[in-house]
Amino acid sequence: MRAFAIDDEQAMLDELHEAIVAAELSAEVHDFKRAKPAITAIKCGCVPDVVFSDIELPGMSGLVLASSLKEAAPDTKIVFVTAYPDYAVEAFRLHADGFVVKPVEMARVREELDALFESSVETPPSKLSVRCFGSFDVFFGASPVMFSRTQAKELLAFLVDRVGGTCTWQDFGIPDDDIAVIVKAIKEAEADKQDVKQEVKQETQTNKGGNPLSEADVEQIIWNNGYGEVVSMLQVQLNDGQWYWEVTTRGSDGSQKTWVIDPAGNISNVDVN
Amino acid sequence: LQCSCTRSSLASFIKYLELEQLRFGDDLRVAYEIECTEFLLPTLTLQPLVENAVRHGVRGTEEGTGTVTISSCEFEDRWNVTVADDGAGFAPAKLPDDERLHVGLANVRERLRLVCGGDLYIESQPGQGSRVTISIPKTAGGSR
Repeated sequence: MRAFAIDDEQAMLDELHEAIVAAELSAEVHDFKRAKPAITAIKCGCVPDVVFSDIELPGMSGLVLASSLKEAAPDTKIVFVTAYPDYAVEAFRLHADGFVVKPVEMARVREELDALFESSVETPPSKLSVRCFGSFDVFFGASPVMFSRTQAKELLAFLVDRVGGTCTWQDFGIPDDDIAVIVKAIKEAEADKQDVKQEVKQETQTNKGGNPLSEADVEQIIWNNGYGEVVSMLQVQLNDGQWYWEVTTRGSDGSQKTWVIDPAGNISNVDVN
Repeated sequence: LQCSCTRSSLASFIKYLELEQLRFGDDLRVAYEIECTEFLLPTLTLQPLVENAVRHGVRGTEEGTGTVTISSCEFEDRWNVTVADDGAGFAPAKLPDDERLHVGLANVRERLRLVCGGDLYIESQPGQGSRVTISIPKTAGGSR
């Protein structure tokens, strides 16, 4: 990021410069004591992303600077820095992009920068990008995607090269025997996953308690009886040691009712009238 | 307290100018040609002139640089204190248009007349700097 710091007082200029650098370490900050040289620099091609400028400047005031800046570099943001908060209204009338009151604090500069460049500079684009030139690499946002197998990366590079066109395993150069092995490995991995899922499901079932009816069963029962829509359901263990579903429903008239369903699927209303 | 001795007035605006020099560094130069200090000066007459010389004179130019000269000298019938700058200058005839300048200088002139029968003389032209002189007559009780 390139920033201009403009203030006619050396001490203030130093302070502003340091605040910008502290707020944005990567910033390339150029100092100016007058507005005109800053405009000249811009016209010579040194266009900043943001200008932090004092308002009261000899020769050309910061407010005049703002309008010249909008012409010379429409994309450059301007943030006014002044000891007089009274200038704020005038500044924003000239479409200032920000306003900082002296003494300039790093945190305030950071806030202004965040507000100005939130979407474009601070957050890297969160999408997948592929770099083919040089070594092949895939990035998610700013970080590289790691492949646990080199072959997977090669395969992806090959597919990227085909840009969506048809290709076969032979094109990729894998012998049929190896394909069989790979497919078998994938199938086994899938099966493993299924087993794990099954176990997890069973575990949660047992943890939930003893009612053999699933949530879908409960909803079916409520539906069959025309009790309306289910608002909430939970399993409770009653004095008889059995697990019951306790279900709250909302009828078509908007009234809420509470039901208890025993393991056999018998439903009864437990509202106190 | 309507008058203070020139020596203490001098001391306070020297401080003021030192502060301004801290702000503007080499952009603001100050010169003193003080020949006499043994007379009384109405309060709040010199300070506005020095401030004008810095703010509107020196800082009012394109470059924002210049020199403020403060001088005092004694004549047979009066003392003169002059604040001069080589800055932006202004057209004295046009003063009534610019309310801020007008009010400041008119106030100083009025104070001088009421307190000690003194007067204020303005010599200035746009781009030629300005020279404002306070005149204190010796007859009207300004003398020690």
